[in-house]
Parts: sequence; structure tokens; C-alpha cells
Amino acid sequence: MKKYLRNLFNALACFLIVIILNFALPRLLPGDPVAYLTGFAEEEMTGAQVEHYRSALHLDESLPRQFARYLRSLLDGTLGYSYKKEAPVSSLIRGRIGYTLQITLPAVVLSAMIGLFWGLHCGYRKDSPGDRFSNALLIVLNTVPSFLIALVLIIALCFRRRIFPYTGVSSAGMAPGVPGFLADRLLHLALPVFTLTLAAAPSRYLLMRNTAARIADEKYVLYAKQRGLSPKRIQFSYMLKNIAQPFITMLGMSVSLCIGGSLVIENIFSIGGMGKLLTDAVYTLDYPLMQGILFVTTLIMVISIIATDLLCIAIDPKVRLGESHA
Amino acid sequence: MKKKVLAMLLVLILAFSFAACAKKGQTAPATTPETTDAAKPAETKPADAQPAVPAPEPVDTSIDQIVIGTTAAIETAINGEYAYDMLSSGTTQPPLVWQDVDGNYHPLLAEFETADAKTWTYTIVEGMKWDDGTPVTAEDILFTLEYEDENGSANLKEQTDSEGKVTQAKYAGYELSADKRSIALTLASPNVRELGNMTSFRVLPKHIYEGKSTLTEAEQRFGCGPFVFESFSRDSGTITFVRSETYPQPANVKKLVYQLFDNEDTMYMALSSGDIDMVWAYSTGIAGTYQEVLASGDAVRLISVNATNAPAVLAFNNAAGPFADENLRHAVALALNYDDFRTYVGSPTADIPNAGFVPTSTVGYKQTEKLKTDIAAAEKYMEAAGYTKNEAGKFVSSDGAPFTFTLTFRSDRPNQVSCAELIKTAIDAFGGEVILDGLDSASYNAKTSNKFSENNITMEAALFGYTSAGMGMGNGLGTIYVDGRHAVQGGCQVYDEQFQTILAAMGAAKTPEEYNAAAGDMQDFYAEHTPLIGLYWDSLTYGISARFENITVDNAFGLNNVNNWITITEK
Amino acid sequence: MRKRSLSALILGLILLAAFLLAALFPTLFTSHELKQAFPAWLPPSHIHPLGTNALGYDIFTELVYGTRDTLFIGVMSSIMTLVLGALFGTLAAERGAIGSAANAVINVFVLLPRLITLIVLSSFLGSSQWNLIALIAVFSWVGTARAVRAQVIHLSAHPFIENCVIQGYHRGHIVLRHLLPNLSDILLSRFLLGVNSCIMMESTLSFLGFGDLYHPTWGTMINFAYKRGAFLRQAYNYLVTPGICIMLLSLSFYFISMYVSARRESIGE
Repeated sequence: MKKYLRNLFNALACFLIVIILNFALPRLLPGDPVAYLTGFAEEEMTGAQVEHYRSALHLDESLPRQFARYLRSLLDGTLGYSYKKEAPVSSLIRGRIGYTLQITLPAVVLSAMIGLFWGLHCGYRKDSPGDRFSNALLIVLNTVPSFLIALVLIIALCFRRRIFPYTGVSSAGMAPGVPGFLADRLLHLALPVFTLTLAAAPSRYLLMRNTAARIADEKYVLYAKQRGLSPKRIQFSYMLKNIAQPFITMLGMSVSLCIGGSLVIENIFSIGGMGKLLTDAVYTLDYPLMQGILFVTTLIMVISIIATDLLCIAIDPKVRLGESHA
Repeated sequence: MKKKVLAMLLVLILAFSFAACAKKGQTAPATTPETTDAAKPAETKPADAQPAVPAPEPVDTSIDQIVIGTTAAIETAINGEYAYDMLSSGTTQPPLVWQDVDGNYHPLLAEFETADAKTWTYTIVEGMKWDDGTPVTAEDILFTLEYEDENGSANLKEQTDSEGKVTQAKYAGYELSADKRSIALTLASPNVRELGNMTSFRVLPKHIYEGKSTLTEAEQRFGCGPFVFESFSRDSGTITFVRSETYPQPANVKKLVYQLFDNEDTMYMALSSGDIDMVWAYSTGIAGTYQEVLASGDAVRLISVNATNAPAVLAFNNAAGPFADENLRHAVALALNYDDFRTYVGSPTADIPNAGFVPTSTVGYKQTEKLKTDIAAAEKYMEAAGYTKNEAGKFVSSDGAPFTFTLTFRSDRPNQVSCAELIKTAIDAFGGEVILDGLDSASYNAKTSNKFSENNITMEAALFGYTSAGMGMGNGLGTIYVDGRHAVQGGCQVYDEQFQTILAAMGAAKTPEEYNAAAGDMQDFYAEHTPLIGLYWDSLTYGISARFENITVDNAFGLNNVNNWITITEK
Repeated sequence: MRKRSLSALILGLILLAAFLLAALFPTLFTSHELKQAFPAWLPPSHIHPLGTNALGYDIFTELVYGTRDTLFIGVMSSIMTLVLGALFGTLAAERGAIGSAANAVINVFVLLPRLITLIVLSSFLGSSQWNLIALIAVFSWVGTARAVRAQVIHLSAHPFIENCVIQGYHRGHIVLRHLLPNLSDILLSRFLLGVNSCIMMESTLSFLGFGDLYHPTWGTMINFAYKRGAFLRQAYNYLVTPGICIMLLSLSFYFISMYVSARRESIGE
């Protein structure tokens, strides 16, 4: 399909542009990265040390050569070496991305599901008391900042009632293989996932509900109602397919929530995830680390964009058939 | 599709309920499973095999475990990682000396003596051993200096960069004693305050590090302190240390667990509810706003210590911009309302600073006048600078330019944001106009310090917070922040002859009396020329569970210090 | 149904009017001055209906004076987000070079790293209110654009659009008179979510150094409350009330939109 190929080509071209941007943007940040290597330990670096780091970071080479090194570091998998944290970037990311994904992936799935099903249900029964109440409730929930949700939950469920833990993703002494590990892990993840879901669900719901509400008056829905089909059947066999596209688009976008959006939650629950790594990198001008994280983020986003765009096109028979007419 | 979703939800619900059931017996959160143990009365154990202990101790009444909450950002937990080094200075890597809250130095890893402040002799305390039993010797001190030199420091040899700039070696020479337990280090120039640098000098084990290009993780956690590193778990965010049985004075705590927090609110809630026993952050006390909340309960005991840091400083750019004119600096200093800073930003123990800028517990402190508000005098200084008040009540110069300046500060530091606001309100009411320039940390650094701005400081006036270490660095009294020639800081951009002369005198002092005299001159200089103003002084407040007593506080490391673990007891 | 929407509309209009009044004539609501200092952290009383904050300012006064900036920034950036989103979304649904270019722009923006771009842009642009609005819009329009694009593609395959094409209408005419009106639902729901998220994004940006910390908006007030320990003090009057105001503002827009959509439906009947 021509559109298929065009989309793919488009996405890849954008990927390349963003790779270039990921290289250029950190270098536009104000300040000198070598200075941050000892940061505010207020140690003075000798001139020789400054030079050593400057050449280690390749800052004394021309920009095209630095870019070539950057590309090479991406291709060989190490993603560069962070002098500030004294570790290869890939290992830093690998150590932390697991935690971020463990709290964001379930949250993305849960919030999408809640948004889809609740939104569909209310859109179908629009202007019913249930619909109005849900709308009002979720609009209110949407205005509550995520850190507030997290802190309220922590006070209620961790301090007043000691049900959940509030630091890390496991208890001290737990490791895979120790009995009770899975239960302990789930217990630690429950609150962060719940918070993220609560924070993300309202916007998913509102979008789905409004889309569903609009098509609830279409002729085919009315016809299905008249024929006596059950509401569930109508919702899932008829309406779902028509709101699938905005839903899939929204899912694709919410992947960005995976990496950057969980920063506040990771901070409050003291989960050492990617959010802090990126902000550390930005505020210490750690070019290699910044570039590495940006590359990983971009890669994940591009894959999700390509996938969701293709999915949208693939499931829309009108577009497929429409093309063959034109 | 719906069935699959239902099934998934069902599985999740089952998993949660299973987890909840599994944990039902516990009342404390799962992260600190042994906290309940510490609340029990001390166990009685049969006599431990402690051959070195002189006094008869048939019963082990030591504390089982202390949990310390910290917001330190620890990545790898190996020696050499800055944040971890600060933490392990209280457990596995005792520095050479320590300083108590009255400012006196005492031996920790080594005894010290000097006759002329130029040659310092350090003798390793008897009985200090590395984790593998090898005794600590002065050779380790020498090795540490040489090791740092190989990584570019200028301890024993000078370093030259490609442009020919030379960093002089700090030490002119050394002499190891015959029994290898002492080393006499001769400084390139005498320094009466050299011991201050030694409170953070940690020693590397020569027999482990020598000749190796890579080290195992275990080797990089080697220590010679009262505790031995046990584990670091990133999943749970904990670093665990167990008591070393070979340390000359055994600690009174069997196990130390550091719980890493990313968020202060969560940490203080944990402290108030007893999940953790203590909070610690290097060179930082509990913020004033939290102190009131913690003090209101009974669970937490607050310990306040006279601080030598400057939590909020208004620094002027003395070389460029409006404040190159001394009259304007005096005018602003007299127009601020210092009570506001103390009340709204400082803690309950905050105080109004003196014109001499340095806090009372600083070495070489000299009493100078307290800062005060005097609008009439301020207006006179404005006139002397060539400004008169127009009908709108604003100051304008002779060619109609209003009195305005930009105040740079870090927008992620709440106390700086508050101070900036108070300054703007005061000066705007006085007749000037302040433009607030709140920046993220990178942009802020690029405007306010030599090192990060590549020697191009562009701020007109900026807010700073100076740590104790920074205040004491170089020749002390915060001069690294004032001296425009300092390679790293130099925010105030002062290049005055007079300043440089006094600075040199401070550096050349051979006795404490000489130093104090020069320091007094420097404080007079500060009072007379106002290159910078302290906005409020505050003590450092530490928090620990109320069930402990006999606490030893260290001037550099607060409650997280080796001696504290030796003296601390449970009530 | 009509009556209920009417009452919703009236409620929404009243709320909006109240906020507009507060924005334009703050002295009607409060007699204190914005930076007048009282003792800090006072609980609510009849002199200070919401108590005082960390610096001793009356919280209710701050809320009232903050209305103007919040409304302005929140609404303007939301509108700009809509405009940009609709523009690029529609363009991206085109075939040919324009479509590819617009698609490319959308994809690049999706992949841009927020934090870094923000800091870089700010160091070049400086911070004023319009810059803040532009920054918020720059990072918010993409979601709208993608939803619009998907919808336009979906609509383009409908018979009535085919009809227009057959009849030889100019493409621009089709877009403006036929496609855009059918996007109004998506745009409305986006606007609603948008006002809220723009206000909250503004508060995050303020803490990176953009925006005017001296005249805090509601979102900034929440951030200040949190950073200054309101949570530990349980000073919910400081922490929660700006959030309630944001919620009321969103609700007012929602009620108005409910009326508009109900009206359109009844016209359609």
C-alpha cells in the first residue's frame, strides 16, 4: 500500500531529524559540561584534569566529528559513557528503565481500558444521569495534580492504614527466588500504578466519551437499537470499531507518558526510574547520558507511532477501499 | 475482546488480594521489617567473643538496628562516588580527623600535630584495620595522595595543562616514619586551618588498589571503619552496613540501614511515624518549614547546632552593572527588612546577620554591627549615587533612568524564591524596581560563577546559598565567593587591592592569632564595602527519633558520623 | 433535556462571569493588598477567609489576583493549541507534499524532548507572558493535531465528502465549510481538557524558571504550597483551594459546551 510505505518513510525521516536534534539540543544548553563533572563539590580541577575530560568528552573536536562519534555510540549499543556517573549510558538506562516500565505500562493499559469502556458506555447512554455524573466526576479528577493524588493515597493507605509500602519496588532482602517476592513486588507497585491510572484516566475517558457520544446518534446505531440488539452488542460490535481510530492514536501518544510522565510519581514513591535520570542529566549537562536517554525515548516513540498509524490504516476499511476507488 | 479484559482484571484482582492476604499479619510497611524489633527492649545475649574489649561486658545491650532516611542521590554505592563518600564517612571510611560543634578538632583515623602550621604529622590510631585484617598505615595516606595525583590532582606534584598553566603542588614534601605509622606532610605554604581539609580526607587501601587498573565492586567498598558494607539494593533503595568486630571501639549499633528517598515529604512523614529513626543529608539541616511540624509531635527530637553556612546571601556584582557603585550597595542593604527574612524564610532559630557577613561560630569571627533597616540613611546613599525621587516615588538618575536591577536566583529553591519576593517588595516600596530573574539551575550557574560561566559572570545581583564547606574553603570567610579571581566561584567579582591584601594576609598566617587578626580585617572590609549581604543566619537542625540519647554531633557530617554510632544509646 | 442544559448553561456562565469579574476588578472581592504581609500560615478566619500562606499573604487575595493571569494564560494557550492542532491536523490529512510535510512536523514534535527543548528555548527567548503561552502551546498542540488528523481521514471517506469532491468544490472550501464543523466535538473536548492541562503545565514551567513567580497563577500557587511544606502542615486551605478554582473554571467551560452541543443536537433533530 502506498500510504503504508509513505507513512513508514515519513516516520523514519522524522526519526533521523530527531536524532540530529537530540545531538544538537544538549549542546545548546547554557554552560560548560566539564564544569559539572565535579559540580558543586567545589573541588577545583587542575588544568590538566579539565583537559583530560574535555578530550574524553570529545568537546575539542569539530562538530561533525562529534556527531560521527555520537552515531557510532548509538550503533554499538553502549550509547556513550557518562563521566559524571562513571558508567556506560546503556547500563545506567538498563538499570532504571525496568522500574519505570513496571509502573507505567500497567498504568497505560489500565487507564486506556477504563477510558475506553467507561467512555463507550457513557457515550452510548449520553445525557443519562450516570453519564453526567461520570463526566463531572472525571472533569474534577482531571484537575487534581498527580502529586496530590499520590500524597493523599500515601497518607491514607501507607500511614493512616498501613497497607502499602511507599519506597522502592521491593522490600529489603527480597529478590527473585525468595518466596513472597512476587506478592511483595505487586504490593509495592500497586499504589504508583493506581496513582498514575487515576491521573491519566480522565483524559482518556473524556476523549472516548465525546467521540462515542457523537456517533451514538448515527443512523446505524439507531437502526441497531430498533432491531433490538443488546446495548453491549451495539457498543462493541458497532460503535467500538468506529471510535477505534482516535483511541489507537491516543494510545500511541500515551507511550510518551511511559518515560517522562512518571517523574513525579517516581519521586514521591522513591522509585529509581528514568525520570530522575533524565533531569539529572539535563542539570549536570551530561551530554552522553542525555543523548542516550533521548535516543531510547525517541526509538520507543517512533516504534509506537509507526505501529499505531499502521494499525489505524489497517483497520479502517473505508480508507482501504476508498483508496482503490481513487 | 471483552472476555479477555475481564479475565485480565480478574487476574489482577486475584493478585492484589493474594498480596494483601500475604501481608495481613504485619502492621508496619514491608520496607522496614525489623523496625518492630528495635522497639523491643534490648536483647540479652550470651557474652560475645570480643577479646579487645577491656571493660567486662557480659550482656550485649547494643541497638539492633537504626534506619536512616536520606535524600542523597546514590547511584553505585562505591568509594569515589561523591554522595556515597559523604555517607560512608560515617560508616566505612572514617576521615583523618573530625570536628565537634564547638569547632575543636579531634583525631579520628589519625592523630595529628604541628609546630608551625606548615608541617603536619599524622599518626594512624592504634588498632585501625582494613576489612581483611590488614592494619591501616601511613603508607595508605601517602598512596592516596599519589593515587589522586595520577588522576590529575596536584598533591605531591604539580600539574601542567597544554596551555602551560601550572597548578602548584599542595605539598612540598613528605617523610614516612620508620614504623610506617606516621607521615609528616609539609605544605607548600603554611595553613593554620589545614585540619579543616582533613575532615574529609578518606584513605584508600594501598594493598588493594596498588597496581590494579580495574577493581571489583567489593574492593571498591573496602573500608576501615566501625562498620562493614553489606549490601546495596536498588529495588528497595537501601544500603546496609553491619558492625565491624575489629574496630578498636565497637559501635553500639549492630546494623545500619540507609533508606534512600527521592521526596522529602515522604521522608519526614516516615520519620514522624517512626518507620525511620533519623534523617540525614550532607551539610543540610531540616528546612525551617518542616521543623515546626516535626517539633509539635513527641516522636522526633530536634538538635540544633550553630552553623557556619550562609543559607541566603544577596551577592552584588561589584565589577559590572549598577552595583559597581558602592553607594547603591549600601542603599539596598539599608532598605531591606531583615525581620521578614528571619520570620518567613528562616526556621524558628533564625537570626539577623551582622554586617561582617560570617556567622558567629566561624573561625576568626569578629563582632560587627547587626544589619538594620534605615530608610533615611538609604535615601542619602541614593542621593550620593546621583538618584533623586520623582513624583511617583521612584528613584531616577539625573538623565531620567530609573533605579532598577535584575535579581537572579534559582527557581527550584523555595527559600531563594521567597527571599527574592521579599526583596522585590521591599525595594519596590523603597523606590527602586527589581526585575526577578528566576532560572533553572544550569542557567543560574552559567550566570553566577566563574567556572560555569567560563569567566563571564553576567548577573547584577544574585541570591546564593553557601555551604559550610564553601564558606571555609580557600582562606575561609566565604572569600571564594567574593574574590573575582577565584577559578570556580567569584560571584561577587571583587578585585580590590585592599581585599586582595587582606586575603593574602589570611593565607600567609602561621598562627591562629595571625589568622584571626586578618579575618577580623576581612569582616571589617565586608562591613565597610558591602560586597554581599547575609539575609538571615540559621542553625542547622537535625532530627532523630526521641528514643535515642547520648548523641554526638559532627560539624561536617551532622548525625551521620562514626563517633555517634559509638556513643548512641537507647532510652 | 433542553431545560437541564439551560440550567447548566446558566451555571457555567455565572461561574465564568465571576472569574472574569475577579480578573478585571479584584478590589471588589478583597480589601487586602497582594503583598501585604501578615503572620504566616494562619488558619482560615473571618479576616482571612482562607488563611495566610508561607510568606504571610492572604490566600484569598492571592487567588483573586491570580485569576487574571491564570485565565489569560490558560485560555489563550488553549486556544492557540486548538488553532495549531486543527491547522496541522487538517493539513496532515492531505495527500501529497503538504500532507507529508505536516506529518513530518507532527512526528518531529512528538519526538522532541520536552525538558531540554524548554530550557533551550527559554535561554533564547527569555520569559514573558506571551513566550509562556507560546511554549505551552508548542508542547500541547500535537495531541490535538493527531486526533484531528485521524478524524479528518475518517471523515474524508464519508459519502458527503466524496459528494463534494465530485461536485468539484475547491479543497479549501471542503475543509472549511464541511470538514471543520464536523470536528467541533473533538475540538470541544480537547479545549476542555486543554484549559486544565495548560494551567497545570504553566505551573511546572514556572518552576523551571519561566513565567512570573511574583504574580503567581493558580497552578503556581499549588506548586508553591507543595514546595513550602503545606502538605506536611496539612494546610489544605493553601494546597487545595487553587485546585478547586481550576476545577470550577473547567466545569464552567464544560457546562457551556454541554449547552452548545445539546442545542446543536436539537437543531439536528
